[in-house]
Amino acid sequence: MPKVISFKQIRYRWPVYLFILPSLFLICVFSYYPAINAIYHSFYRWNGSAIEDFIGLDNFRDLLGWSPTLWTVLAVWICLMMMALTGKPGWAKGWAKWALCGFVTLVGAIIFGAVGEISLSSATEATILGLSAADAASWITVSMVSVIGAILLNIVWNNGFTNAIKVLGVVFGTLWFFDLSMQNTGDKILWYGFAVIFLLVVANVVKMIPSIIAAVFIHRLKNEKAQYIYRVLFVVPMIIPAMVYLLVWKFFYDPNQGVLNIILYRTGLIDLLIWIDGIFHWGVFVEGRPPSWLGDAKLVLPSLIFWGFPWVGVVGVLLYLAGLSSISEDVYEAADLDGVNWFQKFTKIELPLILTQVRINLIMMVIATLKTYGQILIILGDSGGPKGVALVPGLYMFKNAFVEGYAGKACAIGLVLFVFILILTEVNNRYVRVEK
Amino acid sequence: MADDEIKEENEGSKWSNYLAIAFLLTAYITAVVNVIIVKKNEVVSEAGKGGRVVIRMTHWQLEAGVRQVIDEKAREFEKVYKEQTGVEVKVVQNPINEKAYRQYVQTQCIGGTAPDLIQIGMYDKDYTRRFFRATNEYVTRPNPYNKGTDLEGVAWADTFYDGLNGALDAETLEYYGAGLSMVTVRLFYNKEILREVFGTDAPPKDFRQFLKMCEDLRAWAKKNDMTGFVPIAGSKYQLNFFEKRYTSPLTFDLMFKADLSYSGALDKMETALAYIDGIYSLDSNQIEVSHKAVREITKQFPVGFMAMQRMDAGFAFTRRKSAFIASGVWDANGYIQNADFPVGVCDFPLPTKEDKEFGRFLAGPLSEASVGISMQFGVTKFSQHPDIAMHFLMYLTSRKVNEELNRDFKWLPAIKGAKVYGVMTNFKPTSDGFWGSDFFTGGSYSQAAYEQSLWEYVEHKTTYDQYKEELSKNLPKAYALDLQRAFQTTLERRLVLDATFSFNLGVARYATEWDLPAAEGVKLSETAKLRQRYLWESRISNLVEVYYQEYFKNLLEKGNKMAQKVLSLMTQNPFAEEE
Repeated sequence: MPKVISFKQIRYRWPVYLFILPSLFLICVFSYYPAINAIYHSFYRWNGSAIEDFIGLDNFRDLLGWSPTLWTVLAVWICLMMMALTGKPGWAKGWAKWALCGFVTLVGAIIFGAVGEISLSSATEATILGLSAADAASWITVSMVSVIGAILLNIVWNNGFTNAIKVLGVVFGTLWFFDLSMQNTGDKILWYGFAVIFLLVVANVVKMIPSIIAAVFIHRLKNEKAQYIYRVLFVVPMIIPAMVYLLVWKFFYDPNQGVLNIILYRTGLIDLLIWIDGIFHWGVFVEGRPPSWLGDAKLVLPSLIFWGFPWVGVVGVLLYLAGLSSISEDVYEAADLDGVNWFQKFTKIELPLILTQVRINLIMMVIATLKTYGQILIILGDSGGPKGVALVPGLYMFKNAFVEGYAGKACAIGLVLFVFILILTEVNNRYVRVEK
Repeated sequence: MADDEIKEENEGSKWSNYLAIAFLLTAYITAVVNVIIVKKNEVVSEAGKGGRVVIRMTHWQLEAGVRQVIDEKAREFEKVYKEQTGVEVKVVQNPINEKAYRQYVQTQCIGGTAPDLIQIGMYDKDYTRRFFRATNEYVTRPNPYNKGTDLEGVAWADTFYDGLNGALDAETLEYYGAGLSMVTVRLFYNKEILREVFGTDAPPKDFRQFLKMCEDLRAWAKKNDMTGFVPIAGSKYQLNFFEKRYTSPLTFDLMFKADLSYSGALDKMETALAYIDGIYSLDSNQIEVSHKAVREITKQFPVGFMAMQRMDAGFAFTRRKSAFIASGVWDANGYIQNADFPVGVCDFPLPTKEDKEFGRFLAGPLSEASVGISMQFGVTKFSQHPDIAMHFLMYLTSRKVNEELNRDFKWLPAIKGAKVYGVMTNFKPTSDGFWGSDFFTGGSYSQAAYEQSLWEYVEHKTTYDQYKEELSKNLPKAYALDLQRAFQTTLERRLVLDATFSFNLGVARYATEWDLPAAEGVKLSETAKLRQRYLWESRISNLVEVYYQEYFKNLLEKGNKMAQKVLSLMTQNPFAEEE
C-alpha cells in the first residue's frame, strides 16, 4: 500500500514533489492542455485559425444526429453501461438506478433533442410550444419504449447472466446504435467509419494469435543461442522505418507488378478465384483484368485485413516472450511428471500465464486501431479510397481538420472517439480477467 | 560459481557499461556541438549590426531541378545583397511534400513559428489574410533588381504578365507576395515509341486518332510481349487533367446556364443550385457524354490507377512502360531528365466537330487566357526581416533572374519580356478557345461524393447508370452541407468587407486631418478613395452570393421538391437567425 502523506507533512517532503514537478509540467503542457483545448473547441465552429463561434452542441448533433430517438437510446445505453461497468456501488442499486435512468433520458432528450428540434422545426413548420406534434409524439413513444426496454434488460441483467453475455449485450447495443444512426440524420460517414473500425478490431484480435504462437515456439527452443538469434531477428525489423514497410506492402498489392498478383497468376490461383467469383457474383476477379487490391471498393478492406501477413508483430512477440520467460522451469517439470502434452502446456500453463501481456497488447491494439489513419491516408488518400470504403474515424477527423477546415468538428469527432476508446478499454479491463 | 568467476564477469560487464556510457556521451556531445554550430551559422542577429540574417522559405515544389536552381539564385542574391547593403544574408530552403504541406503551414502559422517566405496555396484564403504581410507598399514601386532594363522605373506589379492580379485579395484589396512562374498542362509522349509503332513521332491530332493510337500501341505491346505496358501512364493525379480538358469543352452549354453570376466559371453554390433547380442533372446528355470521354481515356490507363500515386505514373512513363502521360509544366524537367528517350509535348487532342458522339456538344478548345502566375510566395507576419525577404522575392522576379530561373527548371517565366526556351514553347498558354468549368469541383462534400463514385466508374467497374444511381443518392446531402457552409461564409465575408469598407471610408474622409505631414495625409486619402472603388466591386460580388441565398429561398417558396429535400438534410437551418 502506498504511504499516505498528509498536508502537514508536505513541507518536510517537498523534495519528493519537486522531483515530479518537471514531469507533471510536461504532461500538463503536452497531454492535458491539448486535450482540454480540444474539448473547448468542440463546442465551437472553428477553422483552426480565425473563425471561432460558440455553437454549443451543434458539432455533436451534426455527428450524432438531431433526432431525439438516437439521443434517448444513447442516454439509456450510457446509463445501462455505467451500471453494468460500475457493478456494485450503492448508488446504482434499487430505485436510484431508475431515477438515474430516467434523469439521463430526460436530460439527454431535452438537451440534444429539443434544442435541435425547436431550431430546425421553427423554420419549416408550425409548432406547438416549440415542438411539432409529430416530434412530441415521437419523443414520448421513444422515451417510453426505451424505459421499458431498460427495465426488461435490467431484469435479465440481474438474473444470472455471465459477464460474457453482458459484454455481448453492450456490443450489440452499440451496434444497434450504429444501425439507428446510419438510418437517421447523424453523420453517416462517421458511423460507417466506426463500423469499419469494429471490423478491423475483430480482425486484429485474430491477428494477435500468430504472435502468441511464434513467441511460444521461440520460448520452447532448447538451444539458448538459437533463442537469442530469434529474439534479435525479431528486434531487427523494429529499426525499419514504418514508411518503408508501408511501401513494401503497397508494392505487394500493386495490380500490375505486385507480388500478390504475380503469385496468383503464376500458380493459376486466379482461375480459381474467377470461378468462385462466377458463383458469388462479386465482380472483382474478372478474366483478363488483374485484381486491383487497393483500387476496388470490395477488395480494400480485405486487403487492409490481410496487410502484414503472417501477422507476427514484433512488439507482441517480445512482450509475450518476456511473459513466457518468467515461467519457472519447475512448472514445466511438474507438468511433465503429470503427463501433460505439448498442446496442454500451451493451454494450461503458457497462455494463462501470459494473459497479462495479452491484455496489455489487446488494449494497445484496440486503442491503436481506433486511432488509426496514417497508413490509410498514405495509401488511399484523404477520401478513404473507392467509395470512401476505408474512411475510418481518425481519417475523417484529419480530413475535417486539415482538408475541410472544420477543426471544431474534428475536435468533436476526437471526443466521440475518446468515449469509444474509454468504453472499450474499460470493458477490456473489467472482463478480460487474468486469473492465475 | 566461483568468486573469481563472478568478479571477472562483473568486471567485464562494468567495462561494457562504461563503453556504452562513453558511446552515449559521445553521441550526445556531438549532437550538442552540431546544434551549436548550426545555430551559430544560421540564427540571426539583427540586420545591419554585423550579424547574419537567415531567411527561411518553404514550398512544396519537389520537382526535379527546382530546389537546386532556387539554391543557386539564393547564393547569388546573398552576394548581391551584401554588396548593396553590407548585410550578410543566408537563404535556407525547407521544401515540404505537398501531401503534408497544408498541415505544415497551418500548424506553423497557428504556432507562430512559420518561416519568412511561404508558398501561398493549398490552405484557406483566411490564413493568408491572418498570417501574411500585405505587400501593397512594394507593388507600386519599381523592382530595384530590374535596373538597367526597360522595366526600370516600372511598378513591380506591372512587370508581371497578370499585373499581379493573382496576388491580390479582392476582398481586402491587399497584395500578398508574388509568383515566380506560369503553369499550363500538356500531354507528354515518347517520341521513340511513336516512331517505332507509327513510323512518325507526330502526336495525335484529334481525340479519335488518340484513342486509335492507344489501341495500336496496346496491340504492339501485346505482340512484343511487353508485360505491364499501357498506352497512357495514369494515376488519380493524372485523371484530373483529362477531366478538366475533356469535361469543360463538352459541358459548356450547361455551364453557361448554370453560371448565375455570369463570371465565366462555376462555384460551389452555383453547381448546387443548378442541380437543385434541375438546370443540370446526371441525366443531362452533356454530363453523360463528358464522363464517357474521360472513361474512354482511362481505358488506356493501368489497372487500379486510382490507387496509384503521381510518382508511379511518372516512373512508368520514364521507364517506357507507357507512351503518353499528362502533367503540368512542373514535371517537364523531371520527365526530360529521367527519360532515356526524346520526350515530345503536345496539347490535348480534342474531338472534332464531325465526331458523331462528341462533336455536337463540343464548344471548342479550352482557353488558357486566364492562366495566372503560380508558385506564389508571401512574407509571413512572423518574419524578423520582412524587407529582406521581400527583396529576395523581388530579386527572383526581376526579369533576368526570372528568365534564368524558369529556363533552368523548365517552367514559364512570370515576368513580361522574359524569354521562353526550347521545349517550353509548347507550354505557352493559348488564348483561343472557350472558358469552362467543372460541375463537381468546389464544395468539399459534393467533391468527395463525386470522387468516391467516380473511382469505380473510371476504372470500368461500374456502368454510367450505376455511377449515376450511386451519386444521385449522395448528392442531395452533399449539396446540403456545402450550401449550409457557403451561406455561413457569405455572412462572414460580408462582415470582413464591411469592416474594410468602413476603414477606407474613414481614411478617405479624415486622413488629411490627422497629425501627419500634409502630403502624406493627402496621399493616404487619395489611395483610400481609389480602393473604395474596388471595394464596391467586391461588395457587389458578395451580393451575388446573397443573391444565391435568395435564389434558394425562391426555389423553396416555389415548392421545389429537391430544394425542400436539401433543406431538410442540412444539419442546421441557415435561415433560422434571419427569421
